[in-house]
Amino acid sequence: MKPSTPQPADDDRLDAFVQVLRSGDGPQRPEHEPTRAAASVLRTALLRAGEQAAADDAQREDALIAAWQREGLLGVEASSRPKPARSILSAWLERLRSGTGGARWLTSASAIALVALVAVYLPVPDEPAVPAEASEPGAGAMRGAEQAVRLEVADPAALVSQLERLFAERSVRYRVVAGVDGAVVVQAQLTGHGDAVTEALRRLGVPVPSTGRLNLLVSGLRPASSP
Amino acid sequence: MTEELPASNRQRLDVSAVQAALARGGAPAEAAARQLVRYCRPILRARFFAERVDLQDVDDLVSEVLTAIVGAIARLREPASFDAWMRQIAQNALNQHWRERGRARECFVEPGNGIQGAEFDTALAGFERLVADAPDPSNTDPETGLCISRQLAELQARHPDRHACLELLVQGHTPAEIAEQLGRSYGAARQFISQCCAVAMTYLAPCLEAAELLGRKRGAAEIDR
Repeated sequence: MKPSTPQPADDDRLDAFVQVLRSGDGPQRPEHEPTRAAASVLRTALLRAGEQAAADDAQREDALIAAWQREGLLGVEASSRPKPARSILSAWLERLRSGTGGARWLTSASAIALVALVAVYLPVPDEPAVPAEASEPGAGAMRGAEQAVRLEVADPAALVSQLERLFAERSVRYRVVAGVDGAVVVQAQLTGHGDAVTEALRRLGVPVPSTGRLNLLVSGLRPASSP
Repeated sequence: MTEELPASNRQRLDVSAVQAALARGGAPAEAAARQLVRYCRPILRARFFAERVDLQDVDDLVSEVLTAIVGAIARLREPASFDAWMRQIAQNALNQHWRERGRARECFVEPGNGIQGAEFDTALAGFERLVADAPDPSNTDPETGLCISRQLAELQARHPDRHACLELLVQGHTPAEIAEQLGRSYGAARQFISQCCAVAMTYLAPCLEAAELLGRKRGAAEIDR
């Protein structure tokens, strides 16, 4: 009678199978040979499918990285990112240090420009904070919610989605934090984005702030109280 | 006796290097961002699929979490805690996601759907026989290759959570790591993994059966000649 190959325990087979899936190699014992072959087939198939899916992922990755570059997320941290005025100022200082044309800058109308540059540079406000999920979850926004303009709508989620789409299209820096009872806090820095954004906000029925900083608490309509 | 499983061979993320490159800007920042995306995306996908997030929402949610990570990674003080930090951001995004959709977080449903944990052994036994009889599928005819890719696409569409878990395995994550990433106990994750493998084998089995049949026909034709 032909001696039968010993059958590994069920747990052993799963371990061997998983090991081959992960690394392409597994236990070398003869009783594991069929399991290794089976897992190897599945691994090859998954790897091939993964290569095809990688093309789709690459497109998404490119779009995401392009968006991060537009928003200035790739580069110097937000707090220390050079502001435009500072860049011009450093270029001017560079010219002074190199001695090429520095004297002309000082003696001409550029002195007035320098004063103007400093005036522009000084009041540059801090950029809005990073998304709330990354720090204390929404703590800053929830503190801001106390001063927020309240807006009650039938479908807060739909309005917030429209606002998010608008801000993303116009590269407006914003953040959205969920509040209590389904309310949502939306904050955005509107300065420097022209009338198109404020006009779009008006069309959506959102009160446009005169300060250029939107601070809105969107909540659902309260049910009419029963008699 | 079970052989010692090797440590995970998946690529690790050098968080400090990524932080430095992102702060530098330019090409290094872009390369670091890509590295970060490739490291985090499969983990986040597996997590969101396991939480029963709708298929069409998963990639948006993943992008949202990745953007939060890139925006705040400079402030992460302990690079070693990156994975836990990423999981926390993912959890916050998930909570927000369910709140926006006006429903409570869905409980984890043990993926039954007719494939029980014990069926791994049945599926494996059948699959082992097919692999032994069929021509080598790694060097197979285009028809079988097409069948396999179609079946895997179907598996991904019907069971995205299981497909995502299999992807993590193929990338070298250990069952213990998968348990941690999915927020499950080791035992539950192990059972889930066995079900994922069983489902994948049942999806691929028809392709191998067809290949075996084709091989037999070709063999018979050669003998006739």
